[in-house]
Amino acid sequence: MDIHRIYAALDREVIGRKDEVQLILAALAAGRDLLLEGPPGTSKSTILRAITAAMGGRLYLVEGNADLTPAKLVGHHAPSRVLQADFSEDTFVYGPLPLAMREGGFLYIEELNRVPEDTLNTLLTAMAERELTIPRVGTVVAEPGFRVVAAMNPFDNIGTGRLSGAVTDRLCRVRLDYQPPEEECQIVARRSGSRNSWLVEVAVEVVRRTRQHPDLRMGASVRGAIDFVLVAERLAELRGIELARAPVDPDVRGALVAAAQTALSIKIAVREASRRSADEIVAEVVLSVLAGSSGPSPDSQNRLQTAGEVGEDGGRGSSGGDRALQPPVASSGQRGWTGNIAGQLTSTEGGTASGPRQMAGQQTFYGFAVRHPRLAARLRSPMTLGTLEAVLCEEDGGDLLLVLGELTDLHDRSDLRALARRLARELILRQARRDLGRRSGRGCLASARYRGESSDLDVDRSLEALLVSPRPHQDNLFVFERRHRRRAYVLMLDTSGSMKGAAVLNAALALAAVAVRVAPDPFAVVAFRRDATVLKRLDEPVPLDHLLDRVLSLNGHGLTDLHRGLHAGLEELALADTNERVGLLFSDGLQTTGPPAEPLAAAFPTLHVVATGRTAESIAAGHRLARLGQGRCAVVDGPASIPAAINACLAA
Amino acid sequence: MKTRAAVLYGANQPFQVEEIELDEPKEREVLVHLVATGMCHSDWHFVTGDHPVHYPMVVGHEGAGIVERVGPGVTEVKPGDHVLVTFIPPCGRCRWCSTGLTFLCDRGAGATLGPQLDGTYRMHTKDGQDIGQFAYISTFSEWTVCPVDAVVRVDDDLPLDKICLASCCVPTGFGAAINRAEVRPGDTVAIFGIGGVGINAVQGAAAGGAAKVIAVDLLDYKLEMAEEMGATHTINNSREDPVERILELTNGVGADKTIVTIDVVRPEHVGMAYRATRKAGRTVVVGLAPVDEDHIDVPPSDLVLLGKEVVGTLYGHSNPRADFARYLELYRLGKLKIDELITRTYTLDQINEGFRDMLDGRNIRGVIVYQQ
Repeated sequence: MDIHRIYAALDREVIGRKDEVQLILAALAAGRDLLLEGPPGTSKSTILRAITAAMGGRLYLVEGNADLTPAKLVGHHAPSRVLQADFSEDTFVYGPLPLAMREGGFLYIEELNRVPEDTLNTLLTAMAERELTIPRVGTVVAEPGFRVVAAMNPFDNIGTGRLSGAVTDRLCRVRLDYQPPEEECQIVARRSGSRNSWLVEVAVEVVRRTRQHPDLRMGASVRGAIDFVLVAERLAELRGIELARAPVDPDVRGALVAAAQTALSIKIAVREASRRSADEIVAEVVLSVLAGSSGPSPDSQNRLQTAGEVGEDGGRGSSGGDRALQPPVASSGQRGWTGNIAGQLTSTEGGTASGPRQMAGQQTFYGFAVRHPRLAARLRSPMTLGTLEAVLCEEDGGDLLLVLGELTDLHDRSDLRALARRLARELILRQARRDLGRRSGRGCLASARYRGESSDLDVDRSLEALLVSPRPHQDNLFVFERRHRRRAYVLMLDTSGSMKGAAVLNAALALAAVAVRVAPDPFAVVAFRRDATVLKRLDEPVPLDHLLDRVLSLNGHGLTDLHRGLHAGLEELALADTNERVGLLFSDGLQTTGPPAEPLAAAFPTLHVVATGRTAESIAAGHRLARLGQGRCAVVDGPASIPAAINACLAA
Repeated sequence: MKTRAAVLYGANQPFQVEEIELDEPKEREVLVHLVATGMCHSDWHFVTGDHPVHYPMVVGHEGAGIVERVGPGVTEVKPGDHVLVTFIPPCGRCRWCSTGLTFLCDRGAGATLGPQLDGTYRMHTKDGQDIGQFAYISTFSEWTVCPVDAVVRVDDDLPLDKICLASCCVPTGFGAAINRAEVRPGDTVAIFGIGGVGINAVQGAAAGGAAKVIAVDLLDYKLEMAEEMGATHTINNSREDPVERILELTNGVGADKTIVTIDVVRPEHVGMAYRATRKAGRTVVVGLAPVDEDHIDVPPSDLVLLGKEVVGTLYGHSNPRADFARYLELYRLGKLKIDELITRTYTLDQINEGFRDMLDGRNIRGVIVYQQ
């Protein structure tokens, strides 16, 4: 491999990225498999294509998702050919993995972290042994050039925690971040073919600001800027307007906003805690960028630099520098410019009025400061959702929910209390959505009659059925499916006095974990203390975020009547149309009022207990109830252990 | 006539539930058929001898019943009237009564002696031995004869098996907060010990408009109960130092008012509440201490330099004739909770079990309900 030649070729193809390209090339030339980590649109596949092209090899691209079964990676026997010629090497349709191995090419798997465990294991064998055994075909030996390159989006899963050690141990990692503004402008100009440098500059500035926007979890990539430019130019042509008139013509600004919304709104991820839509945020960003731009000018090349500097500083609260490119908050007074969107600009951190009810905390900031002096010192300055998360990550680094639990219990800092709640809600939702994305990869692959879902044909069984059937029908087809048996669940959350502050967050976390774990099965949620409230009926379609709000607004106080809670749970389960019914009790198990709960625990077909208390008495109570309910008892000692405890209880 | 009663024959002996002789009411006395009686820790002080009484005696001082017959000279009540008993039968003429302190009436001095106001006994064992009546009333008996001054008529619509608590622990606790601690809106009030009296102090503090109502106890379940009754903060002093926590919650200043409703008050309990009280704040001692305790842990110079007050209160400075009706009106409107305070009910025969549950901390209040 002539890496100098390849590097020279790459340098022509790829704008900027000197260091990263060198690292990628070095790792691949060294015969290593590689993980590229970076947000979407950070030229991962561009670089990879350029390398394979320069090397004269082939790139096999596979999209990693929960439906990626081993067969999709390895290949399958073509049924019609098997019918004619029985199983043989010739009847086998090779999948991308053996193809890349035989040709010494690259197998590029996007979103590696979404690939199911069994598929990852197949890949692992190929990576480790450099050969692959396919039943009824033989062994494919990898040619020397064969490499596995995987990609992951850090917004999808921070770090590589999801991947097993066996996988990560065999990978090298190169991180790709967004490029500096000048490079992004060059990329946009080249890819869009636009000669309007002002528009390119605006588009790049817009996407850069989306990456720093407090309401956005993930901003737009350079691809967003390219699309923005392309759509804006075509739209201007269609409407017969001149983009350069943006500073003076509201119609032009409207067209730019619409073009940006079309290009960007689907590419960005709005924070779960934000009450605004992607379109609103894009409009705000575009207008604020336009407000700072005086329109196309001869020296726009110089202004590019300025825009870049401000962009890197975060685009929010930048002091001094280019007045023109100040953040939207500073320019929100420009009513004439922002028109009817102005009203929406003020709600960056608002929207809590309809949010969870405030509850009194038991702790004080003073006490918090004694426990976390450094963190407390930083929390004295005004916080937003974004800064709070950043500060907690920097100062704590451990389990954010643990410290958020303490913050939500502060009596004398209602501001932090509210903010911590919102952040906790967001973290829980984020985790839940991430887990939900992977959910369909769960369950075991099993052969089942074709129902139009899986396309992973069970050739053996299908042939058997087809051969004996006089008139073959689709019912004779068998496919491999992830098998799942429908159950009804009820989660009973203890919200008594023993569940204050952090405990309510834990309950919310448990709820999210259950919702993700059991979906799409029906589940009900009951909250109980001295009385019981049904937060969600079995088949009631409540979005997870609304359900979380219901739990987070519970103010843990008062007596515990386990009997009442279990009774309400049983009543909900009685409405289920499934054969299997499972109860899950989230409680310290210590009853302080009401009749004994034991007979009701025994009345559950299955009752699992997630024991939240730490005392021996509490743990014993949890085990006792779970034993009566013929279920499992998992003891939790902090937020980090809750999803695992839920999974342990609900594991097949 | 005959009545069944729980008789104490000496200190540290169980209650003997047996049939005894009960005389007819004499001059200015009434015969009351009791409906229910609360089991108060004060009664237990007579069992243990912390507060010696003249045995044999029938104790019990928190009760509700119906007037059966009246003796000569009784005009205030008539047969069929619903009444609560009071453990002080105010004379209405002494210096204390005439200055609005009927709960300190001189007649209170005879509470532990046994005989009625005229010096003779109404209760006797089967073999003729006189049995004393605690506070002239003795509610641990299905029937009792007591001074008409020791009953307060209440409205007929109220459930006697519940409002029996309004005869002692409600006025004592609620009154301690309202009358003695003089809780004002915005105050921080800390209540040490959440039993039948403490829980009513919590209610009183909340009703008085306290901003923070801090409940302190060793048992989580009592703290949960306190939250139901209006506590905003709870401290389990088996896990946390209450003084430290109260100072933390008040920015180092201390609570405006502290109320000590611990079952057996020790010098250090008063000291604890005192240290948790702000400058010029007030510590109100409500719970009884053994009679041989002769001091409290309060540094005298501190008392001067910080201008603090340590005060006591009997009956929560409540005047039964004036205040029972007021408290019961709050109850009727749902602003004062009584039903919820009754953890368990017992028969008279289960009285020993009831007190055991109280000592084990299982009850906020246990109530004996008599068969009617």
